[in-house]
Amino acid sequence: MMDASEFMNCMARWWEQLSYTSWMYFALFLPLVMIIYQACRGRGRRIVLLLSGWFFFASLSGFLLAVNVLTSLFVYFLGRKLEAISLDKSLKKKERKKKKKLCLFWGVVILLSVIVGFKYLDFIGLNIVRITQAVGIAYDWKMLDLIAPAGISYYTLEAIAYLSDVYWEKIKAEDSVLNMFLFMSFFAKLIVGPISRYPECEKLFEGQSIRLIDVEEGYQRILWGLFKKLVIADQLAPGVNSLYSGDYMDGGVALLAAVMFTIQEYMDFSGAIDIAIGSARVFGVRLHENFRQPFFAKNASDFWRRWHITLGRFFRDYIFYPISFAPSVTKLAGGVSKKIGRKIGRFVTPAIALFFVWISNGLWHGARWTYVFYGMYYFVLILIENILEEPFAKLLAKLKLRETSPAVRIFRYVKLFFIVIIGEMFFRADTLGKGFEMFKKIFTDLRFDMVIKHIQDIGIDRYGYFAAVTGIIVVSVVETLKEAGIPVRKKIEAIPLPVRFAFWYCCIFAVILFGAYGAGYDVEDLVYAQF
Amino acid sequence: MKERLMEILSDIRPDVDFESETALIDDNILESFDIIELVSRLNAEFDIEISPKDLTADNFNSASAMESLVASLQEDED
Repeated sequence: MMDASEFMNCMARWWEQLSYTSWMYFALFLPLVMIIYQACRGRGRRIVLLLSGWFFFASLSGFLLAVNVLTSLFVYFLGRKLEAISLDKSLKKKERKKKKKLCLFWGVVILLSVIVGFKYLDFIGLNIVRITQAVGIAYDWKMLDLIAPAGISYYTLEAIAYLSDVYWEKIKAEDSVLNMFLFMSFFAKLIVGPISRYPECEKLFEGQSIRLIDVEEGYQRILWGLFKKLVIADQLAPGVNSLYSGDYMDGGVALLAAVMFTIQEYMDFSGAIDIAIGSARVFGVRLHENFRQPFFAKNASDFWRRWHITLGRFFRDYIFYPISFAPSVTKLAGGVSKKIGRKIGRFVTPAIALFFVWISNGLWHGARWTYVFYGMYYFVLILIENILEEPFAKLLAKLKLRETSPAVRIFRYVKLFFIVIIGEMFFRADTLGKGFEMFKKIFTDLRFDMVIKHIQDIGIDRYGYFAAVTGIIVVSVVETLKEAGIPVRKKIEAIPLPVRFAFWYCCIFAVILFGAYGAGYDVEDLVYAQF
Repeated sequence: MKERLMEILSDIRPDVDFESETALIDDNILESFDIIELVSRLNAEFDIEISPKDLTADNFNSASAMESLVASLQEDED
């Protein structure tokens, strides 16, 4: 018999292992939540989901749970306050607007202060030290080394979106504090998003009975996510780490590192999102998709409409549009347009707004200059792309080429491939200097003789390569079919039952056999859980 | 009003058939750069103020939806 201390140790170990990719999560935690949820009724079901989310949080850190609970309470009361001002007919329209604006402003400032306090203070402090040293002033920064509460970058954006929507009267303020807690701590979207809008989570509050079809589709999605994460991303992870931390670097090796990281990151992040969406689906909640075949994009703007979609739409709706319509910006743009003409002048407003979008995007990923550079990189590229769109269309017309012709499409794919790879090269680099060094090597020292040697010597064995390459082929085929408008999962549903079951069993065995599980393997932390 | 609206739309995106399209936003036909230009020109042309809260897919998915939006904002102004 296991004694009490052994039992507690065992539980503690399980707690530590509670992540989306652990057996604990999908084979024990999720089924247990489902059973208790189904056994309860009405309000009880919401409480089960809420406690499950809090349990998940607490398994990561009790402090993290406290921050989340306080933030939820703050957002709840501020939402109510905003609505009360909107309904206060004793105030004039202008006064109401002014009061609401002030309320929203301080709300956003406080929410951002929490995140800045945890994630950016050391970064700000160290850069102040650099500046003061450069000008000869003695100043020292004592590192705080705070650990940012997991998920804070995701639920802070959700909170800002909620408050803004209440401010604009697009949605009503939530009157149930239980629902607000649940929205802010639903375990399925806790760690990596998708960054959800309040109305998208309303199904959560209905407490509908679990349906078999939702469980089936939810778990199929979870399995697909595990396949991407464990069979591909985690097999590539040691190789990527080894390439980026190695001493040797030529152009070929730099490209290899960047390509491998791009694949790892996509499989890791989109796999985690599949698990998140699948987990929510089990309870009948349909979270927003976060990826839509990004590598089939026609340009950088299109890529960002397909990659981390929920982050992109947040920046579009809550930064890009509000800045574009700010009176000071439109006035400035109007003045510039008059001077230089509408042809170029029409880009002034979007350029200003786009700058704030991309500096925010870079910094959202973390307090590092590589991320700031990553943001600025896409700012410049997307702006140039939009400015050149018209001349490019004219050039195509002159050459008698259509947008859909194979030559144009291949040109666009190759261009996008390099744009994405170079971006990820900087994104993953330990320092901006290292990123530039890799970039420089591509032009000054491009050779491929060392690539083969590195492929053999970066901690991935034949078995790992076989798993990863097979996995990549499978994902590529599925994504190609989806891009062509063929609903892959529905096609599988149409297959006779025995074959269908055989197919899903094969997938389960592929994850068990080829996944980076078991002795000798450590499941890699989710790349996007750190942001 | 419709004629002016159609003129503005086809000036911004001559490649789109605004008479028949009904999913301009949902299908990503109009991009955010187009929306910015469109809104600033609608504001100037019809003397209205489209704010971020009006930027929903429902208001911009088709030319007729935009026409309704402009009409309702003009009423508000009155």
